[in-house]
Amino acid sequence: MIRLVNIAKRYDLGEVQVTALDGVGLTIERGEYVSVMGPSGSGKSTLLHIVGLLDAASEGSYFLEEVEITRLPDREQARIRNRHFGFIFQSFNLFHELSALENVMLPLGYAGVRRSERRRRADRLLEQVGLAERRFHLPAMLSGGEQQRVAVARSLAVEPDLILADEPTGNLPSDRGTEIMELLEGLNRSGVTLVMVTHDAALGRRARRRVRLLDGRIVEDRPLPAAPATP
Amino acid sequence: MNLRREDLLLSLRAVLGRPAESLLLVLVMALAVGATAAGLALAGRIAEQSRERLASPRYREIVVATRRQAADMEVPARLRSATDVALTVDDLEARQVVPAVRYAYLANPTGFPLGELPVPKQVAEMAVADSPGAAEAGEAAAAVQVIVIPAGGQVGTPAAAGAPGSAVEAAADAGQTAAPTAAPGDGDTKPLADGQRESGATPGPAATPGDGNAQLRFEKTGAPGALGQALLTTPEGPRPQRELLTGFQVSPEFFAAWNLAPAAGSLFTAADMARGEPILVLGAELGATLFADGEALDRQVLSLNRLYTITGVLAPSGTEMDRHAFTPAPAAAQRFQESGIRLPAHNTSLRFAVADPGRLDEARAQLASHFAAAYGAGAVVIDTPRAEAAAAADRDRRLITVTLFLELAALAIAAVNMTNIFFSRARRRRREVGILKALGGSVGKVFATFFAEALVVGAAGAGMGLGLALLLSRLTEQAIGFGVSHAGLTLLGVAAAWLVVAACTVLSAATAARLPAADAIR
Repeated sequence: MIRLVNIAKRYDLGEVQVTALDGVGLTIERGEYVSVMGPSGSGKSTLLHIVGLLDAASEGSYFLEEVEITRLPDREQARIRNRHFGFIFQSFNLFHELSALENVMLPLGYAGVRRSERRRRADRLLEQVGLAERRFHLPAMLSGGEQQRVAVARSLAVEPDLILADEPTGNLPSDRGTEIMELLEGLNRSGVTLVMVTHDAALGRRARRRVRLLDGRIVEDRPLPAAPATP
Repeated sequence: MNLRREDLLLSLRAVLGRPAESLLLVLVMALAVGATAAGLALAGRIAEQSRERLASPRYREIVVATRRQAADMEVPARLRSATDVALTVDDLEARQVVPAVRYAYLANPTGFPLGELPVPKQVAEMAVADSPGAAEAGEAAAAVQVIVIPAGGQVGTPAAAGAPGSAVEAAADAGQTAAPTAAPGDGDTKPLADGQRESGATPGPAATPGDGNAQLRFEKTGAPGALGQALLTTPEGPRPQRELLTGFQVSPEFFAAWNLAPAAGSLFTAADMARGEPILVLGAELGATLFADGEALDRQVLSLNRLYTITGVLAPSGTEMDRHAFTPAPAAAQRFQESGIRLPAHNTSLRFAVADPGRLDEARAQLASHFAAAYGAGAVVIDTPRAEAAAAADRDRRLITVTLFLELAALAIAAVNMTNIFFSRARRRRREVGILKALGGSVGKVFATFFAEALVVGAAGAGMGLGLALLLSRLTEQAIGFGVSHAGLTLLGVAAAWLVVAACTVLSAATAARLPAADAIR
């Protein structure tokens, strides 16, 4: 369970201070499927980064399973990111120097998994996302949808509790976007918590809960009815 | 650094992915390493040479000479006529008043022209005409002239062989003017430079050897009136390859001062000096060069008009003395000891060696005082070669400083350039920092990944730099004449340069690793 208490994030830009988040309080239970929506600059990505320990809050407290992790040392935070969180980005963020297989193996290396086991798990994940035949291809040789599937496989490598997706279909054609969403929702159905940032209203409606941000504050936080089944 | 294969691949492919930039980095690194390693090796070699030079027994000596000799210390002292003072071997007793002096000896540079006879060209040619086989060989044989030296050391032409007579007599018989019959060291014989010592002569056909005879073979050099290059051999022995041996007339303590010990035979004694025996002790290298069979003892070498018997061969000392020959310095003054007469012809320079170079000045002052009391102020000139060597060492230190400055400047320029390139690389790859952190990379692991890149470049640059350093060392060796190939210092230079460059890249890698992940990924 994730609990954010009165989180604020401010950036000092010389004499000007910009407030990205202001007094945000949010609790996300295990297995939830939450979409975070709002216009550009509303603080969606900042919230996602703070939840994913990619950024530190200026104020407030962050509890993970009732343990405050706001001020943990870098090494501990890195371990939590590695073991508990999986990230999916709009621009895929694969390493272009590494093959699909090596990209998926990378987080397993940080988890201290032996090379043979890394290879075995990465093979299995790429098979799950339908890229078994393209495991040795470099990202540049894959389509956008394939690259995002590699990114999904990579995010699942360490079997995370929470997947944080930032505009996961933003750079994909709609059919490929749907494929990715079905993949992620399948993971959610298997018990993985899914938090997705999007400004796409249709995509946002697929979640079970919607949090809407405006000027760094939560202006809406409500459950959503189940989305119609995909044909 | 606990790097996984994927991290290393990432680093390696990041290097290979930008070949031009990476090549530039490698070249800059190679230049830094090359300049540092070669500079350090050169500086080290200069320092080493300086130390070696100062460690030579030569630089523990105080040379006492009469005023006119002092104008040219390296010329055999006896050749210069003294004006009003003649220093002789007796003056070595001055050591008694100088406690710091450990050895007192004579060491006058001299030369031994091998096989040189006071026989002009015409006599030699006459000998050839009479030599066996000359008629058959015709003109070709006329180019080779042979004089047979019968056992017992008497020298003559083949016509005169068997009829006892000295070389001078042979010349006189031929009605020619004999060349000066100076003793070794007399005349204006100066040691030849190294390049001049090697004889270009190739042994011609040997004349029929007589039992126990030595044969002297002349080959024409073509110079009008020249006797040509001379080689001496014995019927069963090897042929000397040199035409001029350089060496010293010494007194026995010289060997102790230079720490020279015999490998075969014996050294001189004071009695040998007194007798004025024509004997020779050869340096190790010279002995091996002249007599490849290692049987130098008791062989005789003809020089000017004397046959010198080799009584000893020195053990290798690693000094210049390995290349020289030594004969007892004339101690004629002793003959006049009773009468108290000192002849200018016996004037020589004296050498006093101290055990502790730090006491050179003290010993020099005491000697100056002694000789001033004995012969009057200013009658002798006292010189310490170490002063010159110390000046040279001081020059070397300045040269080392300049070399190290240039080397450090090259290293600093390279380090700054590499730091800039690595910083710009890190800036360009900031998104990768964010991704690595999102995947669970700590600051340390991200640092390691970026630093591994510097290691890859560094290793390639260091390898190339080592090659460059060896090449520079070779060029320096050719340019300034002494070897600077110093493996230890070259490797130290490589390591030092690599460390400096690594330290600079640490900065860029650390900066990259400390980027906030959210900023990097944005």
